[in-house]
Amino acid sequence: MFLRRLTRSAAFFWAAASLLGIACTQMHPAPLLPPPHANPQAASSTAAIPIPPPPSDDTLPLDSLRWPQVQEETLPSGVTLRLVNAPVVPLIHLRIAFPVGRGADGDHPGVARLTALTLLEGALGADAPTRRTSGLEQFATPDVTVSSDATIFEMTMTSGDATGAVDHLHDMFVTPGFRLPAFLRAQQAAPRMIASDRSDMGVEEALWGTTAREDEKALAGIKAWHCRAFHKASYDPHRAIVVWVGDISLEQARAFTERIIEGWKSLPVKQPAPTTKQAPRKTAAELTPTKPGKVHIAAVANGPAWDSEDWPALWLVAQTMTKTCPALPWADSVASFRICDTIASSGIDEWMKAVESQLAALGNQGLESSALEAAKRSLVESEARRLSRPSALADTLVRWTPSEVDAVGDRIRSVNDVRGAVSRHLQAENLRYVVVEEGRN
Amino acid sequence: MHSDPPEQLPANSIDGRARRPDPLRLARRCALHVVLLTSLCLGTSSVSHARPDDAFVDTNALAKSKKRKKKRETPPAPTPSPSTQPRTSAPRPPAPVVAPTPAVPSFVLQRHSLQNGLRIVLHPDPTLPSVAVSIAYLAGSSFESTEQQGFTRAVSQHLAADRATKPGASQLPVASSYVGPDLITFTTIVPPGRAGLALWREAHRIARPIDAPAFDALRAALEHAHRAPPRSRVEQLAYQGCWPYEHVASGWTDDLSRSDPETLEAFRRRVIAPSNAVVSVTGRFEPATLLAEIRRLFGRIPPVVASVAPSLALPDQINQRVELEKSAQPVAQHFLYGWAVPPSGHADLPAIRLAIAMLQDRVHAGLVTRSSRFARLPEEANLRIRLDERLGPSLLTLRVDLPASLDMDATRAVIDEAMLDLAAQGPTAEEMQSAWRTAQSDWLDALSAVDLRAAALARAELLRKDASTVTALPSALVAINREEVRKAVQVYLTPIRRNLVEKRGPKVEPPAPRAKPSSVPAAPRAGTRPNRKKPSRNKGSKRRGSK
Repeated sequence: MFLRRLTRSAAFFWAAASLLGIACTQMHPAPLLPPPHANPQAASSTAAIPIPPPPSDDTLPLDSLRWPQVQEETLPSGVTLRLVNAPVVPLIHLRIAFPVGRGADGDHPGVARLTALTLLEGALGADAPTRRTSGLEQFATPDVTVSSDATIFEMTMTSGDATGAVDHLHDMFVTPGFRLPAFLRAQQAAPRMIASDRSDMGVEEALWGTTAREDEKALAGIKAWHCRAFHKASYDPHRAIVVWVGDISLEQARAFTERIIEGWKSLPVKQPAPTTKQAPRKTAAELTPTKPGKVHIAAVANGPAWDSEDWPALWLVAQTMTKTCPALPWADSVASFRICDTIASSGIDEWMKAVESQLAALGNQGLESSALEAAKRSLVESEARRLSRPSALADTLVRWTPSEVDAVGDRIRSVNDVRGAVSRHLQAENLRYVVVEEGRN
Repeated sequence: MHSDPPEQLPANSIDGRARRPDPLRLARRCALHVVLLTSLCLGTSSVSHARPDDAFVDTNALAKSKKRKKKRETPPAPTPSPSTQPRTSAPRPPAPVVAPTPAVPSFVLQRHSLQNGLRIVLHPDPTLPSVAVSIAYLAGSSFESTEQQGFTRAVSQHLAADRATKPGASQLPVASSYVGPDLITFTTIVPPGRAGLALWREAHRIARPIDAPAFDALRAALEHAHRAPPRSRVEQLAYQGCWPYEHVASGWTDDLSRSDPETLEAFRRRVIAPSNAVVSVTGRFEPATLLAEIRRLFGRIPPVVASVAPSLALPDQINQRVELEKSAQPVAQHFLYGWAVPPSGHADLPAIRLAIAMLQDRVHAGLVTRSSRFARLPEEANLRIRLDERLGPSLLTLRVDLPASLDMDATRAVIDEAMLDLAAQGPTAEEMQSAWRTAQSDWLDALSAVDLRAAALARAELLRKDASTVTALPSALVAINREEVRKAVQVYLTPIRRNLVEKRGPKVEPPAPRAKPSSVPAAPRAGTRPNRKKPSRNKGSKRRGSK
């Protein structure tokens, strides 16, 4: 009875309180909860956050281009071995370069490229004649590039797969089959490779006057036996350069390198004489494509010898002027001056004139000291970014010696004036221009 | 004498000769159908996008799915073509598969934290010539509320624009940025002597407020944002019912139009906060010196209450979702499949990674080497597979671009058949070997670049609360067996859990008739090459004759 009365009273009070509450709410709405973003602790002005001032540029020393330690030696077989030991990530970047490229094509433009591709294609996949149960691609990610003076085979593999990859590379170089299926696939791949190399081929033609142009017609005239003969006559294992970057010791690198060329009996190779004849200068009208659109344009010039004191100044000039290509020549085997841009095809003449007038001004007035320092810093920083990838280290070391790349930082730091170098090497008559339509490379 | 009754000729016998029904072929068809039905019946119920410690399967959806079983229209299983018979018709012998030794990186890691909640991961590597500074915020579009659509994109745009505000920073290169649904990341590579400057810029980035001029600049930049790309549309389909991942988060949205600088600034302060962030530094540096510098620069930033991680429950998908776009004119066509797959750190994700390694194209010397499973895809079809690892359900997309002259249905049939076969039969021993290697190699290749390594460490610290987990993936990959891959494909990559975005136009005839598909040259790379046309003997002799 008492409980029933208590329950009834409670119900009455609850109903009354509810009614009262509703009435109060209607008169004075309850304060809303703060929205999630209105955090009281975050409400203070961020302008007052005390961030210490940045260090001034003047107080920061110009960084050296500090290359990782490179070990270099010539093996008994004559192969040049270069190694950067970086054991943190169990991955290896391998480059094998033969000093034979498009310049050795002779009467068959494209034979160097097709030979390299046929070698590589022949090593991919299982192969009944050689009793291979798997291809090189099971152990490594292979690729190949062919420049005017070198053919470079590139591979990335985990350190555990290196032994398997090396066995395949041995078969690929020493006992190549040059069978038809591999040759046919190489024929399919070659045009795409040519398209991506069009800019480089244009620069080589402008600088050194190489005229043998590879195209589909020229490729169609090449047979598998041409490639076999080219491999036999032009690939010299004893002049190869092998670069290892990654999780590999010097002893392993030596053993693997010797294994790759083990038993390779080559003929004495006659090297083609390097061409030094500069191509005639083309006018803007000759360079302008018939179809309007965007073009990649480059101004190039042959420079002095590599050890000339003028080169660091020319690199700094290129660094201040170029937009789409690196100032340092690590992607080429020969140093040349190059500035690049992407413009509308209607503006070619204007761009050429602007470059020449800018270079003329630099030859007369030079760079202001702040601009010179900024160019140095910018060059060092772009190099630091490039070197952050081990594959870029390998790409550079396959073309340049460790002493050449190591000295670059000090050489750049020593530049005080660019006027002499510009007036000696970048006169308008020394410049050549290359134009490639966008989408063609 | 007993004689067999004469056998009836099949109606579609073209050559008039008696053709026995191939029992293996029939068995294979049956197997495909059984798998399809099994995945319909069981696949949905066994799938969970839950993080390992969560369980948020929508049981109502499961009940509904059972009710709708009869109504479901499943995509028809494509008819297997004779060219695929050798690989799939016979049951695979259980070949022994030996997993390779995992290639585990040996990272030296130091983890610290400041009073204000900022976490620090230092990874000194003296073999590298430079330093990468990466800062990651646990702040993406998934942290937006229903009234804050597009706020993250605006804030990240504001942060990315913060370059060269002080004399010292003018020489720093632009930081590469990533803005995703869970993370915002900025990474800079600098020479070792300028690591302090890069850190200063990141500290300044945290502190830079959004004022009225900055707000106007953002409006100008975002008002002309393009339409959401197909990937975003497939995200919207895949994440239906999961607001944090489903909503549109790009451009100058209506919510941004209604907001003001103060509101956006309040949002920025809540998400771009030290307690939400990880600073990761990788490369050539002295850890003690750099740690002191980080303490000096970031230590005085006041703590802010961290934004709460959103609920990322995803209702189970019970049928394929489709968005079609048809054009009256011939256009470049594409279709995009998207699947919600397990979140970052989930035990099934390595199996999904291996499946991707089995299916994706590889490029060797300028030629695309297609996976054996997609060998029948036309050469012109461009295939891309991408895994977007997330705090909640991750997203796997498979996109195929193809010219107007190609038949999209036939192309899709190749993909569908390959996926069904992988779910039914599992990968071959060769596929497993290849996938183990390529998945590990790709991962290590990404880690060998200093900036990607720094970003991966920051990301692992934020998403999995332990940066050292980046080195665990190779071991996790080689621990996966064929059956686990098969099961992962069967459970997660089923047709009914698929989301399709498609753009197609009328079919046009190819410009020139192609040579008749003849036998592929005795490919040394069995099945790893798209249908290459081999010149017939006649053609070859013609060429020789003409020469």
